[in-house]
Amino acid sequence: MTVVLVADDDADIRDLVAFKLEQAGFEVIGVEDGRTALEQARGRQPALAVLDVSMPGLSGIDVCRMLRADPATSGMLIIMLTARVQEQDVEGGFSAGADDYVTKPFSPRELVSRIQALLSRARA
Amino acid sequence: MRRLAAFAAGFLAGGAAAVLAFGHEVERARRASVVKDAETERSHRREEELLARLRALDAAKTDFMATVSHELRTPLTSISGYVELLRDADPGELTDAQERMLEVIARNARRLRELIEDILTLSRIESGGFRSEPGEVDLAEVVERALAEIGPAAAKASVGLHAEVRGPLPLRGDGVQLDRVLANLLGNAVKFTPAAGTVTVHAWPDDGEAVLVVADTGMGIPADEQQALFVRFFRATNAIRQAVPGTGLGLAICRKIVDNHGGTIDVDSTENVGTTVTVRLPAC
Repeated sequence: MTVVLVADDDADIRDLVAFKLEQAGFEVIGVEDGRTALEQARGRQPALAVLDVSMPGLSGIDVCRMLRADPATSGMLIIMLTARVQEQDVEGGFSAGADDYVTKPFSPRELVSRIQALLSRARA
Repeated sequence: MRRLAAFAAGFLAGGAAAVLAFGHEVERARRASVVKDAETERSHRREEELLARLRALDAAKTDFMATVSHELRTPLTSISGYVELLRDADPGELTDAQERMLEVIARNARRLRELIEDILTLSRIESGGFRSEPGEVDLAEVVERALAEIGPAAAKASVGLHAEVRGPLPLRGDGVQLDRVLANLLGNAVKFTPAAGTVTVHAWPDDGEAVLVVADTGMGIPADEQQALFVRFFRATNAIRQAVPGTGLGLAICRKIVDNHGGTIDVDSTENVGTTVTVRLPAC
């Protein structure tokens, strides 16, 4: 089963994404802060990580940079999730090395489609 | 709620504009008083400090708006996300009544999101002009982009879309903001026009200006309300009566952007006949 890491400090949003992903046949690791996201990403090696930008401690952007900098996780697919929508925020996400960027509020259906698209492109 | 939102937007957006205008005034006064005695030197320093404080205040306002927007979007994500799950019948089949109720929640969540976005846009453009560096923009291309964007919505509403664009129409401006003007004007035209009606877009160069006309055969605006069209949160009574969705900020945003570009925007409308919006922008 394909493993997806979902990191968001808002439990409702984490559960929302997890519910939709599990329904689509993924195994989900849900975490609530950047530090745990980093540990789980390194330990469990998920195929893809969904990272909220604003988390306590390490932000999603910090986690993304650290994953990219580590050869063991540099190839992991990463989608950034954020409620900040100004251009510089989006650019910040991409320059940190994210593969995609989704702004809140988002459609869970669409998020899962994007995840599936990224995964199938990576496999091809 | 509406009054509170109007107050918040007015306070944040207008407040910052006033602060900046005041800042310019201080700057002018400072230049005029270049006298070399100690007294002037002291007041000069005080003015510098004041100006720095005003700039800091404006930056704080922008920060505040970004935070407010972030804080509002997060709960909204859960509301609209879980409603989507229910409406997709992910957890189980729904009765007709439940579906109708969820449709109402979804519609209002969407409205809230549009309000947040519009308030944020307005606050950003009111505090002083451009979001990005103004560059050379071809209005003809902006129109083409907007037409392509609105095409599916017009088709869905069975509204005919006609365009006659005599380009190129080069002007100095912010492409993102001009996209927004076109999106708002075409969005309004399609939204307020019943099935089988038409929306016509004309654009042409005219004596150092680019002229853009968006005309529809829609419900129009009652004559005694046309004065208030550009006022924030204003919505025409016939639009409210017919439950046409909207935030009442679209035209206020258009006017501010057109102002920022040194242009003019005028509306000519007859109730139950149609509305024509004319925008004139200085060419380069």
